[in-house]
Amino acid sequence: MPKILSSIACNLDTHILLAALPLFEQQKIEAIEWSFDTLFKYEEIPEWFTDLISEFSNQGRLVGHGVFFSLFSGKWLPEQDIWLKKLTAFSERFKFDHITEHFGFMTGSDFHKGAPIGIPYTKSFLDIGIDRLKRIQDACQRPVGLENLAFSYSLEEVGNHGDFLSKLVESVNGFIILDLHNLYCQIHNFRMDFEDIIVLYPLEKVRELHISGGSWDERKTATGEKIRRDTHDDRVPEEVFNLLSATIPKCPNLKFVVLEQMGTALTSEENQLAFQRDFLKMDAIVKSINYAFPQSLPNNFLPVNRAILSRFPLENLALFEQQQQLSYILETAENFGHAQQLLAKSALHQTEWKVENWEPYMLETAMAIAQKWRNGF
Amino acid sequence: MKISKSVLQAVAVAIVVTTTISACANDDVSPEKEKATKSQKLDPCPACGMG
Repeated sequence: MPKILSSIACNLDTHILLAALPLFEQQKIEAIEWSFDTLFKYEEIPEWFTDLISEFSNQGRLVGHGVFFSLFSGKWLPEQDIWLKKLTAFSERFKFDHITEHFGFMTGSDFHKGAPIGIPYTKSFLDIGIDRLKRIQDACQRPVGLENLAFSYSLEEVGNHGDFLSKLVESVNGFIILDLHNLYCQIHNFRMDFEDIIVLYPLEKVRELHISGGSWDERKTATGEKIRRDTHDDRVPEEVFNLLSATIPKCPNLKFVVLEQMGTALTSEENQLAFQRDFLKMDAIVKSINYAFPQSLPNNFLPVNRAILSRFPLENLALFEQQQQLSYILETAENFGHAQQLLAKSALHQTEWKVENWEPYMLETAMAIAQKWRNGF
Repeated sequence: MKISKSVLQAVAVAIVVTTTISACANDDVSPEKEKATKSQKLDPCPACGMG
């Protein structure tokens, strides 16, 4: 019987490792998710860390989770070329079970600044996304997947996100990561019911689930409630554990359940103990539901055929110009009114971005996210 | 999953060394020591959680 592996996001971060060490020693952690590209800027990775990664790699328990590729950039960037070459090198060195990236494009003036922001669900962006996914798959020769976004500008976007994700990954027999805290953000910020939103996602394509904590923003939704943000800096809320229990039985191809938390939120012993308790609680839920699964995973998500790549990556410079303008507005607008003024004069006005329909509180949140990360990490 | 004892010990030592160096860094004015701090201090990694 296939087993769902209880996993953590494990990176070269003192506090994450401090929090995880007792769980490693107790042999509780069954797999790790490593954001390999956060180390691309280093010439050397400490040997003790690669040894740890190799332990999981050698047992087929390592998944790679990219952060910086910027899937939907309208222009092919030199950094994307370098990213793919490094992915190939890492894939030859470590045996990843699969490789994933985030949905969206990165705001920010260079490749290591900014935050992932959504795009309109149009044919132009679908074609760019498919081109990029094929290149990632070609570079790693592993199953490839994408994670759902926590952020949406409007209810209409929430309704269409799952279908767009499905069309994207279908092109490479790919899969999706369903981040349940991201789903929780959408449920809260747009006042949706779990049963209504979960059916919008292609659950047969879910190979990985994420859980994490987040924070409440001072900004308010249309109904006067605080905005929920995916900041990964607190314990997993009880509601997200409930989402995990409810979602696992709906995902016949599920293989990994991952607990994520930022190292910056694990600096105290109290927080590290809370992280360990969250992991054990997650593991107990995973183990209690395992029995319901089929004898073998219906889809291994491996490439069906070798991807045929065009010589030159697909580009749409008009979309890139719009992305640059949006990034600039989000990063520099002084307040909501200023952002609205700038958007009304921008190349995004009355286009498929539908900026006129964006919920004011979500535009403010997008500004907060972009301004938080504009100076990098 | 079982991880070899030597790997876990190496991780534990590295964490302790890094934590100790980070904790002492504010009092550390020697260029040589500063160099050592920079080379060994680990990054807080954003991974996801950028929302």
